[in-house]
Amino acid sequence: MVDYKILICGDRSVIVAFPDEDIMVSNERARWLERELNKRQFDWLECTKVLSDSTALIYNPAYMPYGKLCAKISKIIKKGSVPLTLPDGNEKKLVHSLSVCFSEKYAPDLAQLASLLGTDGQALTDSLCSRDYLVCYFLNKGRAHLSPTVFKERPELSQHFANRRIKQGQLVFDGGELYIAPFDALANGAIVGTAVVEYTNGEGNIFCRPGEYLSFTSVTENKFKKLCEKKERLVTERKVNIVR
Amino acid sequence: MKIRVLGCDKEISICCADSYNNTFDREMSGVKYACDFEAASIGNMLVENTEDALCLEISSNAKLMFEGDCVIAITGASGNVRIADETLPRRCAAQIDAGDILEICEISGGYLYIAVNGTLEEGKSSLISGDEIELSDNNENLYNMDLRCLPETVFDGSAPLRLIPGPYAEDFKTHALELLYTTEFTVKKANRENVVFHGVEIERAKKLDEITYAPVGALFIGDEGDPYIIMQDSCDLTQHKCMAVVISSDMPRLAMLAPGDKIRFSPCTVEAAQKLLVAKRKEYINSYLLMNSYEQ
Repeated sequence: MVDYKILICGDRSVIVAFPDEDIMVSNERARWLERELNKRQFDWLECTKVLSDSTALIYNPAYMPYGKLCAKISKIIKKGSVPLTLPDGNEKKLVHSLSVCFSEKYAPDLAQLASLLGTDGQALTDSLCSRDYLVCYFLNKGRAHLSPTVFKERPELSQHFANRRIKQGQLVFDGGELYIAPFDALANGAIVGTAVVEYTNGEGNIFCRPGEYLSFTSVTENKFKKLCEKKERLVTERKVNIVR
Repeated sequence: MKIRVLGCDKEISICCADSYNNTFDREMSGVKYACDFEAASIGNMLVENTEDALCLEISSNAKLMFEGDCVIAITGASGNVRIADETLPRRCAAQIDAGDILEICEISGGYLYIAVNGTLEEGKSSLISGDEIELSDNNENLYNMDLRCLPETVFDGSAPLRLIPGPYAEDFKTHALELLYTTEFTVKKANRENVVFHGVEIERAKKLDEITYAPVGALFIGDEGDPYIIMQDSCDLTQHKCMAVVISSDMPRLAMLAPGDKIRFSPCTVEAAQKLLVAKRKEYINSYLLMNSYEQ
């Protein structure tokens, strides 16, 4: 039986937490619960949001008081097939391919970070482009949190990259995780690339959803500029692979 | 037609009356939400707008000029709202003539709302002196005008603000919870981001490793041990542990607090809070049906 807790969060919302030693397993379960809730289209459910190890939901107590809500969620979890472990890699996955420029101009910290990690820029670029990243959840302003990267957690590295002027679309390693900057900001972190990326209207999130994957394709500066020029067309031209 | 801001001491927010916080990511949606969402939605009801229509949120002296005829309603904080020498009634739909200048002054803490029948231009989140905003689809008059009036809400200033224990209340020491519920606090700061209280120093609980969700009305303990409650312009994601959450029915009272006000907190169960909330919604729906009945 999967361990879960329903935490009261006022009279309109609850947080369903899935404590587990592996945060990726917790996140897998949180995304599973969101899918299960949304596919049932409950009239009492206002909205849901996946967080790192939990799913938050806002509900209407006129249709579903707290006691009944807890019973409903417990039933869904107990009767449903909650992921017990991480997928074995054979499942179908939706991968959005993003063009990223890793040149010195667009990845100003790549060489220094590579040196600190005991490698070189090209090897680090190859490494970044060699895998698919799971979009775990979105933070404020649409900051996409990606699955653990080729980097190990190195919080001490962030001191080497303090007060960077980070621009929207830049790929940043902040010592803990890799993310795509959703807006221009002054923050700590190594800028290791710049992606051609669009944001959905209103919500601020990049085009994908938690549970989908991103992969990076290295492009030259010229190609990057051309892609940026025809950015509007990219929405239809973006390469999406469904792979098994 | 346009509504022009002839003067204002503080910026005027253009707000959506989110019905009881039913959205995530408030701070990134590009829309401001009314701090006293109940007052804003009642204003919209009085002028026959949808509940979540945009309205003006005012917290200081202001002067507005209406270029055309329209119908407005004043709700929220008490204040002196007049056109020339005529004081406009609160919580009542009122007709405005082209060229009328509305003066708002003496707002006693919190936020005053002006709902205007029609659609306010989207894309602007605030207005300052000299700005104007477009109003479309507005009517000069509404049917059932005599029914578009609601009695004043009377708050018992001495009643405590009711709190539901937060998702991480158990991680606070018993002593901290006791202090929260037995101390009289003074409002130190109140704005669209948070309301900060000062009374006794309350011990914080250790931060979470992961990010979690916190609704509007969530109470946290600040660096100096002062409790603070997050409001509409605050981020709804945090690593701090939420100690308690204000019940939805008391959110209008929270929005009315001003620096220097005294307040106590009392615990409330989620079941009791939901009963109050459902009763309030029924009252709202009944008023709506009465005002918008074509057979009257």
